[in-house]
Amino acid sequence: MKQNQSTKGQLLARRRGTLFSASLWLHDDHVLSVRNMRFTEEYARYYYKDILAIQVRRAPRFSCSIALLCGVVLFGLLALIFSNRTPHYISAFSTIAILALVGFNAYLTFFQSCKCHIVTAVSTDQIPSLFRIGATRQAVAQITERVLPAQEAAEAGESQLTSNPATDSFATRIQASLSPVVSAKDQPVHSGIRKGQFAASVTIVGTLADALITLMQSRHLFTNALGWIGGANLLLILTGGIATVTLFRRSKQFRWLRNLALISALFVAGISYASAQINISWQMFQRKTGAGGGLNAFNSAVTKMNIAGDFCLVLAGAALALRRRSDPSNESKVAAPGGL
Amino acid sequence: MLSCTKCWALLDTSTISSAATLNCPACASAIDISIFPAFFRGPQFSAAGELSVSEDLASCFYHTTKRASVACTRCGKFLCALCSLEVLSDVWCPACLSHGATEKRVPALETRRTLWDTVALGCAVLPTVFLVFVYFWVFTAPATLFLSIRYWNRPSSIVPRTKIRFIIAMVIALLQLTTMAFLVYSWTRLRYVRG
Repeated sequence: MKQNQSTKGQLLARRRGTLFSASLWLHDDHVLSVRNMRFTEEYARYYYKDILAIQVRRAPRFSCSIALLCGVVLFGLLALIFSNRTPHYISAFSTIAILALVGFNAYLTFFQSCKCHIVTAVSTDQIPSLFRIGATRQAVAQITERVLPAQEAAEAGESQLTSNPATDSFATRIQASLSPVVSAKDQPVHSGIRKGQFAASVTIVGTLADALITLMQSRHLFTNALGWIGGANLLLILTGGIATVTLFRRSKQFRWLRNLALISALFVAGISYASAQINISWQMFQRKTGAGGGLNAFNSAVTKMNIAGDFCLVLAGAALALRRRSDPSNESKVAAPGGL
Repeated sequence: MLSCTKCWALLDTSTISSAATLNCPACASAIDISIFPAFFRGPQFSAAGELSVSEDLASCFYHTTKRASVACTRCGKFLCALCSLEVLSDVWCPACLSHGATEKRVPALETRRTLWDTVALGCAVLPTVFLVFVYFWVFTAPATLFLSIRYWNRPSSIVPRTKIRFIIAMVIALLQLTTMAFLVYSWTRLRYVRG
């Protein structure tokens, strides 16, 4: 038999890592899951006719890409180089960029990650290369497109060989299951809830950024640069809050006190931020008019309350995110908002 | 029945026809499940070999009392339905399958491979990255060259992969050897000049 050195397939997903990496390949009759342990590779093949189900469960998955590491190192070097030199805004921008990169990675890790398992008659194996929700949905849709015809053909072949009354009921059931091919966007989670969760997640991330910005401003770090960024962040928080409420109301998931409390908390974050902005504006006005500079006791207290409130809200959001989530398809139970 | 992938509690899949989100009854994790038609099918059993009806018909190589239905694509042995195994759209006998799996000649049967190109590259790069081990160049550079030449034609990975790692490893190893030769020459020359 001719020996193939490598088999051609379509790359579905890839996970890169320093020590371990993984990839998923779509072949004519099977899915090939490759687990790379730097010096060795392990292969697992799942033939389309043998796949019984695919399970996707949201779970935190930490992954630090090389691009992210390079970005952090680059901006870190810039921040160090320009910490005591002009122009100062490069250092400020680099610090913010590092925080944004780390925050974005944390957001992906906690809110956009999942574990995917392929179920066969003899095993339930995790697919290491599928760990982000978006990529997993696309991969599952592509696998589904291949599995359904393969199993349909296998079933047709079997039904030709054997025909008995039991097969008819089975065939009817198969037909019912085959009718809609599930696309990536029509996955079980309601789209309204998904959008609402995204909006709430954005708001929580914005609140965290607000806490960090206010903290840095209170230490008189990069005050001018952060003033503009803080203004944009306020807009993000308010827009996210409004979008969250709107989307959850539209999907009729706005019932429980928990959700109400969360959304109210998000608005409180926006209000506290607005108060902080007013506070800063008042200080600038005082400096311009020469009425006096620096923080007085009241301003200091408001700033500290703002920071503490933001951190509390972020912790509450994280706690709600880690709480048990209900089935969105069930009318009596309601999903917590915000990947939250 | 499907199980929760977090706590392995059994899930109630009786209401699912194709795709749905289920909540685990034990840990309440929400799990998106896509179920395929094979899930509803019962366990598959291979056909039992038919009994030989007369002396004229060929019998299975492994079961002399059963009628042969197909021949092994590799060795040509007659096989009954019980012994015929489908591999890569061919029919193999159990002995050929076992042989192919142990000799690693059939990519479709392999479950593990050593990536010698990465081993060679690691052998070349790691002593350089960790400068403490620069003295090990004297061992690692020849070892890198040996690994690169020895395993050049050995199949690397099942998935597409080029030989660039072998090439980079050999270039690094040659540079290391050249550097070492230059250092040794400089050192002996210096001693000669001083002495």
